[in-house]
Amino acid sequence: MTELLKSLRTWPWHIVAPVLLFVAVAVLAPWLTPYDPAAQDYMSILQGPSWAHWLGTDYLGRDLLSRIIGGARVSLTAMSIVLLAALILGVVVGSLAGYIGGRFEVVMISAIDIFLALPSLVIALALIGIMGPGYWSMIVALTLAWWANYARMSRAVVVAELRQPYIEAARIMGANHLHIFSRHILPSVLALVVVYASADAGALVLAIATLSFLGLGVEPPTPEWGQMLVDGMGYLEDNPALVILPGLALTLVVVSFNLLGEAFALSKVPRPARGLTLSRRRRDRAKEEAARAQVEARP
Amino acid sequence: MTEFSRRSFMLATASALAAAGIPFQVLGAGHLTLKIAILVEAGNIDLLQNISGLNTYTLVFDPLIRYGAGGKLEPALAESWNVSDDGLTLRFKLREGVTFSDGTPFNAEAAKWNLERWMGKSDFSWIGVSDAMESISTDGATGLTIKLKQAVPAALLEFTIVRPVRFLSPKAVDADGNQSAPVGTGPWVITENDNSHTVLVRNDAYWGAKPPFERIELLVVPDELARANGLRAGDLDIIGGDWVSPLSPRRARALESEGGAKIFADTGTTTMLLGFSPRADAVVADKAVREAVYASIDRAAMAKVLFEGFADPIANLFPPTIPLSGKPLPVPTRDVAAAKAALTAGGWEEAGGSWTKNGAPLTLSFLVSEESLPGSRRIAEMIQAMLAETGIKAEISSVDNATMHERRPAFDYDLTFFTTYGAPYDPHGTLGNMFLSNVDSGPDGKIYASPELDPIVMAALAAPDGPEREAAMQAIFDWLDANRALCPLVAAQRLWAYGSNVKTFVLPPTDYDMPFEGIELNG
Amino acid sequence: MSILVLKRAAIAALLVIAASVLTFALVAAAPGNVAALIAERMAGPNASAELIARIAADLGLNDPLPVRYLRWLGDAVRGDFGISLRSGKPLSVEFAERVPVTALLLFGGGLIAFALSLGLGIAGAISNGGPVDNVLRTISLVGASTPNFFVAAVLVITFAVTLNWLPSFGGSGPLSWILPWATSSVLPASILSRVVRVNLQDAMSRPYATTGFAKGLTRSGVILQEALPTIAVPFLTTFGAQFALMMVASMVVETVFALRGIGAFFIEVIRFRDFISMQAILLLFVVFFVVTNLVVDIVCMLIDPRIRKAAGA
Repeated sequence: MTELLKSLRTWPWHIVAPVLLFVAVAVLAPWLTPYDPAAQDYMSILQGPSWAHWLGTDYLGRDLLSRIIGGARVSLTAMSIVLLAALILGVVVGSLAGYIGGRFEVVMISAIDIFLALPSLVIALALIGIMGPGYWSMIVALTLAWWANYARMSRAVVVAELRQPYIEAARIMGANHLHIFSRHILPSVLALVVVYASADAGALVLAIATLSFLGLGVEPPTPEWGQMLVDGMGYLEDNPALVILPGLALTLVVVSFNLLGEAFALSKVPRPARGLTLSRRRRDRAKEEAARAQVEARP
Repeated sequence: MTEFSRRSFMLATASALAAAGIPFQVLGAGHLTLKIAILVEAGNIDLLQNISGLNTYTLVFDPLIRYGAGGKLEPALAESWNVSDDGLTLRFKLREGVTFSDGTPFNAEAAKWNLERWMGKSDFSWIGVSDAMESISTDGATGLTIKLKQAVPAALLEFTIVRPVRFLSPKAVDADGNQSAPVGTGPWVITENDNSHTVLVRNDAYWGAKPPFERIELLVVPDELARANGLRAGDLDIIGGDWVSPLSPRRARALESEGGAKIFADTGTTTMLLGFSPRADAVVADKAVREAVYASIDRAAMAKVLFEGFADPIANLFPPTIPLSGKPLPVPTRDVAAAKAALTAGGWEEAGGSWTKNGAPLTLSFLVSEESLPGSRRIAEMIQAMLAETGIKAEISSVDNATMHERRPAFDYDLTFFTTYGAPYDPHGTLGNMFLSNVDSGPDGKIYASPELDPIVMAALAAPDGPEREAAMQAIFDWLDANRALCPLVAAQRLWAYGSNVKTFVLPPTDYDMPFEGIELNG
Repeated sequence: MSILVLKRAAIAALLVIAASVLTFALVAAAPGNVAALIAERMAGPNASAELIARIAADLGLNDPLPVRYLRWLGDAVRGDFGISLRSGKPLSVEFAERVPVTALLLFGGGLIAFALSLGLGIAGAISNGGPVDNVLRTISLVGASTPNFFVAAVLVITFAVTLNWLPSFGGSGPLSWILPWATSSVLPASILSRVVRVNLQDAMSRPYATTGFAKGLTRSGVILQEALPTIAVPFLTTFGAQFALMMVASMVVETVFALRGIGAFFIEVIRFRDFISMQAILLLFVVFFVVTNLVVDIVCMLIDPRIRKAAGA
């Protein structure tokens, strides 16, 4: 973990800066927005950029800059909740599977494999279909759609670590399971999984926007980029800015995260030995090649 | 070699293009087609099933009486009619020499057979004449008599509506009596019908005036921008209407300013209103809340900002274009102070910009479906902000059409949008369906229903024509207003746009009709 | 060889069965009673308990779960997926109408992605660090990060609204397919062109490339004649994965361009919470993903003897 942070310091600023900028804008949004993102002003609807409204206004006279900034906050919040929850779930399930082993491990691996056989967004959509649309159902659905990959990695790291001589030594010396796990194994698991998770952040921001675009996510008056975009579609001819601005914001954030993910993938982060069959390994290699070129933007 | 292959390729391409061009040229000579966008597929066009949109029926099926421009009753399959003084006997003299497009003659027997498919059936009890039907008898080939158990004041008007009252060929049913094909006596015959388009050709055996063009294509274009672009490109000739392929006011202004397409706007016959859930345990069961919502809304801003002026603010249930729509009420201006005062008077307490009563917060669930009412999401956002200024929190729940149709009859909302049926159904259609607690209005739900209101509406619907009926109607409107039972917003104008291919555009009598009558195309 | 293929197919079949169990379980665990939902849609909110019970009996909802699962799977295999709650039509009819639309979208988009990525990847490799390479790298990075609904919107603004060259919705003739195809090909083309570029770069440092140069070939000659054949396996594997993901993208693309395919239908039934259709479409998706992977595996085995050998060992 500390190694990771150390290596982070050596990274080119132009890769880290855009992501930090996004996070900073999202966190400071309430102080940055010139207007309340939900405040409507019917005397100034659909205006172009001006000193009063730097990016113009939308069909209800709401300040677009404020809505874009507010949208960053909504995206970051939802994405962080999902990422954290999926991480915890994945690390817990994966580590337990690796640590306990036996039949439990086999069952868990099968479950993980089935989840990985379907694209995350399909799983998320199916879960939203079952729970009904809404903000929290979106959060839960995305979490359940995203945990499997982290579980698989965690399990692989745990299995590899358990073979290390110092772990065996600790066991012989009578250290309890929790101690061994939290002191020796968990740090390695987190070091790897956190890296992959941060590369997933872009894909998650995209998934949240896509769900809102499809009308299955955030409800008004919360400003959300995907939703702003779909609402702006009715004004494409005269006011394409209503569509282009949230689309650009979204694209820039995803590009930033993908650059970060690419940098992570290129740095010498240890990778777990993966799957069992050749086909899987080969497919993973091909996937990694794609990832190296471009960390997979999961739609 | 290269030269040769390139030449032969170009030759092949040229001949392929020529071959592809032939059918178009043949079609182009003398074959004029009117291309109309429709929002959803035409469906099976079954007269007894509530699946297809109504407009397509009007191309194929004729009524006994037509609802003409301005609500004038005009002869269609019935040449003349009369109603007995007691209102219990309706006599129709049917048009002679009419055949269905499959050659089956239309006569009194065929008419009786058709009427018996729905009159007196519980599914169609929402139609007064069906509910009151006693017997149907024929008198020769052209005489048709309907006897009623009680008088139905709007009886003749009910025979002008679209479904199920129009006439199907008795041969177009299967062994179970279900409609097997949409065969009518109308000016058009369906030749192709799938989920992307419907083609109709002129019925050359049609009894009335024949349209000056041969084909109508109904193209399914669910997306509004796509429709506008189709119009711009000449792929479509007509878009618009409340039900055919709605045109948003914004888009209408955009098309108007470009100058290519022409816009046709006329005073509307429907009212868009905010309905309060009639559920006894709903927050809006509290009249103070309804008063506050009513006073919080700026209808003028709504008409100007979201309807681009193609709507008129309204406080009545029906716009003045509807007969018996009552005395016009003054359109209230927005008054946040009055809204707050109403809440305070109702025992609500304000703290930190929100209201509570006995510890319960003032939060309204606002059911919205962009799919069932295009543009309603934006209107909902606007209302949400207006209510927020009073301190009323409205939580929007955006759903699809089907979910809307499920939650509305279950009163699973506090606020939701309703639209009155408009001509030719109103005023009795909306009043008889959406205000009577004991009538099953299916997916439409209830704008408002209360045991106290029921007898008032019943009395008005049963009142004989004339001043008595007018007074009884006014009693309904007075009750609704006094109880703040609904919150009318605007009467949207009827909006259509047509392309350069259309020489003359004539507004169909109602928005349930498909436009074609009187329309001329450039040859 | 055929044994290998069979083994692969068996694994695929197992995966389909496992995923179908999960799909079935997910929907069976859904809150709310399907019979009550259907009854409500038939008779309104006041559906009687008898009606609900009758529907439950008709659907066999009172049987134990394994029995229900086997019946559902058996019916599905015979092409009977039940009746959609959303449209009231049998799902087999819906599928017959909608699968061809989605297939046309995927094959058109896939073809564009295939050709475009090879072209761009090779151009990048030939330029090798030159301006063309840099521009292409940037384009592919942006292309891989842009949400497909934004791509669609930009294409519509440009080609339908501003230039008015192309229709902005699908299903109205050949021209109307161009924007949906373009939209769905942007993401796979971006990722694939990078795969081509990176693998060509890698191949250029191999001995056979040196041999090629020794034979007097130019850089483009070596790339096209010596390096290109060697990237077939990584290219096809990634292409397979991306092609499968295009099915996911089709949900957005079909919704935006109003195409009546399976993807748009999936979104519709989710919004309507039509569990019967959801089950059927999910099963269809699982089969599609697994079959796509299987096909890619088999094709790779056919073209690369090393994999055959390794898998046989």
